[in-house]
Amino acid sequence: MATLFNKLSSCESVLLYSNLEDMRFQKFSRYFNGGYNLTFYNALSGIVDVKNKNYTNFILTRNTNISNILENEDQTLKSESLLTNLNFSDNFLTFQKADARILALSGIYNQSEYYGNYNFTTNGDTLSTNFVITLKSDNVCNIYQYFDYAKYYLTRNANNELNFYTQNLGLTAYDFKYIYSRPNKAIFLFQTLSGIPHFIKKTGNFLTLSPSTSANKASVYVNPIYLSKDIYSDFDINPNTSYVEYGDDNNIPKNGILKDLENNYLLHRENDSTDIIVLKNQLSQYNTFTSGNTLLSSQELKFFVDGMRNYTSICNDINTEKDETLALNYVFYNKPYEIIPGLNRFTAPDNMSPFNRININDTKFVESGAFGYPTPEYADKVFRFDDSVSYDDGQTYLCTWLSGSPLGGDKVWVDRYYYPDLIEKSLALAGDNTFNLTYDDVVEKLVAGNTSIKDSLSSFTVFDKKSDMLFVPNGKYTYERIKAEDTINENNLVVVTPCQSLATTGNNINYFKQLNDAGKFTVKFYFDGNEQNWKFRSKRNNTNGGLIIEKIGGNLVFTMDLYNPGFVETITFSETVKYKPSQRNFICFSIDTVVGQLYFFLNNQIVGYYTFDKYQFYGKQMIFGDFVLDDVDFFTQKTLSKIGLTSEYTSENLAFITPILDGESVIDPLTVTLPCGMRNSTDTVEYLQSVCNNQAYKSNFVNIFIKNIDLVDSDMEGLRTRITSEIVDRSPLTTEINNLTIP
Amino acid sequence: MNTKLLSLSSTNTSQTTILSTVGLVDYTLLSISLSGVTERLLPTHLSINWGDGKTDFFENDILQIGNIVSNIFSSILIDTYSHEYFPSSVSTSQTLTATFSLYYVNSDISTFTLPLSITNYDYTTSVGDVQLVNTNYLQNDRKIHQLVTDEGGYLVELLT
Repeated sequence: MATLFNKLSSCESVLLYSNLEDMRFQKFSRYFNGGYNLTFYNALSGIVDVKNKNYTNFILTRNTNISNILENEDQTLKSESLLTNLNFSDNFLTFQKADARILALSGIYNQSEYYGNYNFTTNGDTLSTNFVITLKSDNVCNIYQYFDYAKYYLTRNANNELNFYTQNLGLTAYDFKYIYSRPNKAIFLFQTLSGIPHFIKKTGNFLTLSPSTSANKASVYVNPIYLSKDIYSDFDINPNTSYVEYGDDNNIPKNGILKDLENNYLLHRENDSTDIIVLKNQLSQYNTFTSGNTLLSSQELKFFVDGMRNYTSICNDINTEKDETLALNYVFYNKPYEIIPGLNRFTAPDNMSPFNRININDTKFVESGAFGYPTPEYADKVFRFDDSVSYDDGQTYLCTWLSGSPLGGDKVWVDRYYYPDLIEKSLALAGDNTFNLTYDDVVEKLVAGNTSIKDSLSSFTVFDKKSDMLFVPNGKYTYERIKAEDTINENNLVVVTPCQSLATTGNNINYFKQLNDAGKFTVKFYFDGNEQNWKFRSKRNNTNGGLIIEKIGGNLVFTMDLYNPGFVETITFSETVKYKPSQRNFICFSIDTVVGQLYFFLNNQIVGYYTFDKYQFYGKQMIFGDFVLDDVDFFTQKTLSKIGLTSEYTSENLAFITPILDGESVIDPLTVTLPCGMRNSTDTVEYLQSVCNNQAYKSNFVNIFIKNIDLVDSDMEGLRTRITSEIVDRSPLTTEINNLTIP
Repeated sequence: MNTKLLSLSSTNTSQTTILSTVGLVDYTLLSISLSGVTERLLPTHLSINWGDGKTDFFENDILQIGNIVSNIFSSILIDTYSHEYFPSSVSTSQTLTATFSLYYVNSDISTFTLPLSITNYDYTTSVGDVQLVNTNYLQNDRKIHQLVTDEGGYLVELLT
């Protein structure tokens, strides 16, 4: 056993090597008196915790960007040449071959092929408007056009005029100094005449050289030459964590990325190599992404996913070789609740630090995905169990609900009140909101402070106000979220009955008259995105009017012909869209001639919305026969399912949620959070321990079997001796060789 | 980390300026401002050799109208340039020379030469106390000692 005392100069810094070839840890070294040096790794600055097991180290880093730990590999490359047009305020420089006749008039009779010319056009997308800019060192460039196997350079001639010439002519002034503005992709070109720099600008239809001096430098920047391409290219391989949102069209919206999120990292060192694990600082306690960090507040910030966790220590090390789970302790400040479709009951945290209580409009429920609707019937609703509230003027609190459109736009939590002696509770749920989304506190004060307005509120059977609902510690709440069973509600507006005569008598003949009498109707159904073509339409007589929805190949063609007998004319509204192949698709069409509007709806969005003159079609026929599919009765075919037909106009919002109410699609569960002070939880990392010992036995006592070896006995004995003597130096310190067997 | 800010200035476009030596102490962020440099002619670009093997190149941009300050049009005269200098790993002090070359449209070059002397903190100042948090025993009586520094909270590993 060697002595524990060593000279400091005998120490070597241990280096941190990534097990990935292209990944290098940022570091710097210091050399100290005494002949020793220390290597400092940024990754090991401010570390949170370290745990060791034989040859394995686990290091929990501070919460930081990974670009602060790893060497930055971002690169910007400069082009050596680029093909671009030259845009002088929407006038594009255009190359022309010189006219030999005009050259002759100037006394040039020979070598006319060495001369080019130029003009300006407004179209910069032609061959003659594209020039090659060759970029040299020290911001020097030249510009040429390749024409008829020759390069014509933009050159200053003996008269200090600019034009295009080949280099055969012996002119030399074809290099320009340039200033380049990358954000604008603009270039400024300079040549020095008599010691004074001149810049190129467009004067009339000519390129001229103007002096650039201290006095007139402002005139330079108003004459940029815009390029169609950037001289530089960025290679951004910044590995920092980002949160990305995809839109309905599978593209990433411009505001759909939150970049450069900070994480804790777990470094796992094994012998000489280190791997790095990005920990889950953006996930809730339920391991879900939710924009629910109530403690983050910013007008610019779209997402509130950052800082959901902060890792504080390695809770327990891998204490036996059978145990391959490493536990990490983290703290969180937002307690998550999973809200599934239907009724959910939950209790608020017993401590909501840093708040004593929080208004529902100050939570991040909306950002997390709460579902809004114009009436509380289908909107997300929150009820608080509270017996202590009493009202003295007849109104009764019904619920707190999220007012807004499911199709987008602003949403606000409002409280609904109703008068039990004037309206039933179920009807109060379905009623339109009294206050629209522009409601704000100013209006609330105005109503409260004006007796006449306040009294007039009693004329409403229901009314809403911006929510006063508070989440308080240990409060009990019910959160109701839309689900399919809601269709049981008798006040449901969803189109489930074909029409009144069909519903009452079962007779599905000539119901189109009833729809025409109403002046509005809605039809909806589902179909499979298979290869079958079909044509759904209202039957027609000789009159060219009615609805046609045709499935042809991968397209759906919507057509609504409104026939006006007064003018003997037909107005056509048409839209062609692509449906989802191999999936179930939802179609809804609704028209209201009383108001003058119609729309085509496919799956989850309006694909065509039109308005028309309501006076022109009010009281006139919209369709001229019952609906058929490929000339078969609409209600007896099997291709379309869950058919709905009603003599009512259906709002776009209701069309949007119809597949949910029909049970054809399910609204996603929601994870909301409430502030909860500082709480602890444990995250686990499954790790395959391949270093310590034999994986089969996971013991430090191992047996070695050598099989399929063809050696004479004397050599076999030599092998045994060799292995026995050398295995000690090559195996981990704690490993004990139990037995060595050579059959 | 220490910080140091220097301003450069000139009166003509082909000036060669040798500045007096600037002393930096240990790990330092040096920032350079060129707001005093002449814009009698427009500069095209700026080339910086920081003296420690790192170079930078900046294009001028005169179209950032929002940046026009005190009749300065050139972005490279408005921006500030920063560089981190690390202490030497082989000596207690070192001398470097940073060079700033400003190129103008008439091919003039203004050069600023900045000698730098970087002195290392001594061990106690730069690291503070260290605590031994762990030792790994390897074969052949070799050991890895893990120490945590007071300053910066670095985990430093030494092999003996």
